[in-house]
Amino acid sequence: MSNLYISRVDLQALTSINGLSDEDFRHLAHLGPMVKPHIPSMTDAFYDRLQAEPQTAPHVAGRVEQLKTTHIAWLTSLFDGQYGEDFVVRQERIGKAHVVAKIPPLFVAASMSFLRAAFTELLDKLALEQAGESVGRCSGAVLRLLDLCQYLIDRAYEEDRLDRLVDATGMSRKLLENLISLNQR
Amino acid sequence: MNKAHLVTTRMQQIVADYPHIAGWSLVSRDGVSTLSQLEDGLDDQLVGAVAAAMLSIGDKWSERRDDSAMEYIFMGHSKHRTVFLPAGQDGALVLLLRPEGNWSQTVAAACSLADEFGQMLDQRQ
Repeated sequence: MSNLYISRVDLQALTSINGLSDEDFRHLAHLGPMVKPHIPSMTDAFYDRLQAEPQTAPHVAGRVEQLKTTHIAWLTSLFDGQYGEDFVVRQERIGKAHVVAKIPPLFVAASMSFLRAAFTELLDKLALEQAGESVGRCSGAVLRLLDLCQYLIDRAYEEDRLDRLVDATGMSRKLLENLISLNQR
Repeated sequence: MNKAHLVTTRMQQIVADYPHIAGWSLVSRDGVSTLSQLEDGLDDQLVGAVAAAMLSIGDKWSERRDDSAMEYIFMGHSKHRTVFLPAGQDGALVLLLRPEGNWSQTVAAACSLADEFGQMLDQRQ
């Protein structure tokens, strides 16, 4: 478990269970120079996939290059070695941006799935042993970090839905939580 | 005499006057039941949450329609009736009624009672 998320009970639980640790962060930072040169081609492949899928193509039409730039910046940041409060806030902002852009949560899930596979395949091809790293160890670190990112982005969707429900019904957040936690028969 | 005792005593009087009241609950607007006397098997958490939800939606409807103050929500089912009333800023009163009896008189009495409880509860703040 990392010491970076002491003020966040949810992230403490997440990293305690999935094992994302300070050691993972060191591996990720060490991987940076090896992985970053491949991020543009990974992004190209990713957007080729989005453009080929009829359900996602409309969401990227006309702005693929702009989206690729943002995507490359985000993926690069995952290997910059900074994973504290600012990193968490950035992922949450990304989540909110997705909500505002009306990107269905399914697409976030599918995208993260693509990236998990793409990174695993990439790490398998890099000569990590020569750099003193192991494929298994590094794959685990990348996957655990992507899971953290997905959790933070997904929360934005849940918060948005609850906010809309509060606005439509006049019920307080606390009442909604009480209703949700009623014993189901 | 503490407020819980006052409420319970007052409710006993009302139930004596209107015997088709089968149960009651005083709840917070967040859906937490604070005092209740309910039929066996009826979950006070469920009653509290549903009451608060009904009144929230009722308030929202009032706000969007004409901004008038909501007085009560009366719900009729084949085997029972339920009245949900706001009680002050943060409270709600729920009366569970058997289908027989003069419910309009009961609702009128319930409105006065809810006002009374509301003033009592608001004094706490």
